[in-house]
Amino acid sequence: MQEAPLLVPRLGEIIKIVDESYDTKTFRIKPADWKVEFSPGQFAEITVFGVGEAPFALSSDPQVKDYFEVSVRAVGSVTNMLHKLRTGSLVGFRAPLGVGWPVEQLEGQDITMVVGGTGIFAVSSLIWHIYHSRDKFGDVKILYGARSPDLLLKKREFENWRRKIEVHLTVDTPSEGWTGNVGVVTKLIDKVKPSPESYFLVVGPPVMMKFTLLKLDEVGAKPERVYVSLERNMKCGLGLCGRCRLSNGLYVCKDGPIFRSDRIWRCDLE
Amino acid sequence: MQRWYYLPEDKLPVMFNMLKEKYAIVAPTKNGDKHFYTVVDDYSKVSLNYVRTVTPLKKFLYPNGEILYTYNIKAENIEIEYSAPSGKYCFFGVHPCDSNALVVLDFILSSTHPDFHYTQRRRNSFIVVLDCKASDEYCFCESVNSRIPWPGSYNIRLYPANGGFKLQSQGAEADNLVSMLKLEETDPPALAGGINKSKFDLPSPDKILRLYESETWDEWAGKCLFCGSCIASCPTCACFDVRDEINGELTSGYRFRVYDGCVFKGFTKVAGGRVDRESENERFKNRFYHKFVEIPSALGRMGCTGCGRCIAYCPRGINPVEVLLSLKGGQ
Repeated sequence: MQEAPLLVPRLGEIIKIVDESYDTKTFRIKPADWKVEFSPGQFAEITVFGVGEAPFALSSDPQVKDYFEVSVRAVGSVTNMLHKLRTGSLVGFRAPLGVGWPVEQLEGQDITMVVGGTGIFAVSSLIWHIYHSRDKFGDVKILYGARSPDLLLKKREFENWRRKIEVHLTVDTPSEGWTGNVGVVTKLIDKVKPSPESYFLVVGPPVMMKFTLLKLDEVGAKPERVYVSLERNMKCGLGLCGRCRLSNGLYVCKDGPIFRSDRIWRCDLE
Repeated sequence: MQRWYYLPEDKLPVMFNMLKEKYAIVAPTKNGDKHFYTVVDDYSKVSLNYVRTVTPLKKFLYPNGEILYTYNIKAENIEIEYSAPSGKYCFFGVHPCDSNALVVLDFILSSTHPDFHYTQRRRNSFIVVLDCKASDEYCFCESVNSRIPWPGSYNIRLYPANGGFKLQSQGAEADNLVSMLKLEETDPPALAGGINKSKFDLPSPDKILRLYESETWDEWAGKCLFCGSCIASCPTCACFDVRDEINGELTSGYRFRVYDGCVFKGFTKVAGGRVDRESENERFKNRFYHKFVEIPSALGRMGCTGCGRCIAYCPRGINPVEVLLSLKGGQ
């Protein structure tokens, strides 16, 4: 029996859909024949039959084996069609793909996550992992920024996470009733003053990552302790199609999407 | 110790017919003043007096438009079907640049996560390499160390000699074929050096890497039309796009892949419109850094085999050797 080609998806059923914001939903997918197994930071390629396939971070709790979740902002053809699907719909998936966060290396360490917008989906599986094994990690902080309070995502999960993890939120544009921090997420670094010895996990839109890394240089973070999650057009997820090649010859899909910051060139972060 | 045999010219058709029993034979054929790789069933159609064919071998092992799977949408289920790739090819009389290119394609498509379709076709293929009698102004195999067939690039290699060929086989299947031909042993061929018009010492991968910021890249990018001729004709370019098709009733369809290329602006475009490799400079040099830095660093061989097609078909006559030798400045 020949093993199924890596480019052929398996089937999964959408069993739950949660609205995260006006344009973002989380899809809970129950695989037909796969016991869910992934490391925090790995991703899935999701197929909407007849439309296409697109990559999304596996955003659910990795301890859960019956289903996985991907969180999807409606911006393109696949994502908009995904948003039109209902529970009970079948989708294709290929997972797990890529190399996730350096979980073992992070054990016993202080961790500061600097996250912008939908970037939260790339760290949420890791946050769950830390949440379940909280005493294996040192001081853990999440610095999370969004454009406005209604765009702060994973709100219900944050209620859980806050019980064991220090959370700092900020928004660019406050709405009425917002009493928290206002400003870009780099300002939170100045305010919270995480230890420069901490591991920094940075994920968000390109411009946010660029300025966060500059800020981390400024506060004396060690480049070998700074990790980033990158996003690219990835058609195959296997290092074959060539789209996500970085300038130094690494591939976001197979060598990443999580990279140690000193192993990629800054020009690929702009 | 590699053994060499003498294959008289009249035994070449005999070998062709033996291979035909098992393989679909792909050989250069002449059409007008050009040569093309074609599936041939008769030795008389083979034309071995050629410099290069219009397109390389990838169209057989890695065809454009390949269907990856089909799907049928039923009320309660979606049926996905795929099949093992068809085609058991013997590439007959191909030049070293094109057979060496298969070693590069193996590295790209069959190493970390092997591509199902390419890998099976490649595994089922048989390669008879023929050394070149002549080269033209575009050939530069000697500058990229690709004149001699690389290990793994052939089952049989032939060197024209004394009206026939000196032959060497690699692997049990080829050894067996040779023994059935009852050939006499001979001494190794004197490998004729200097077949290209000129041979250049190209900068090392490390040196090219340090020239990433060279301003010379801008000059070349300014000359390039970003038409993709170099990519379409390249024996080692394998980047692809994946597309879906569905029927009018929305009940069945297929996913397929088509050739794509890194010089195109849309290649790295993501939903929402961001393009990661946007500047002409970056899009021009990505191919060079893939072929002349990334692949050599990992494979120990160039990702370019010097076939010269990219120069022959470039509307601006851009020559990669000239590009690499022109790079100045950097760090």
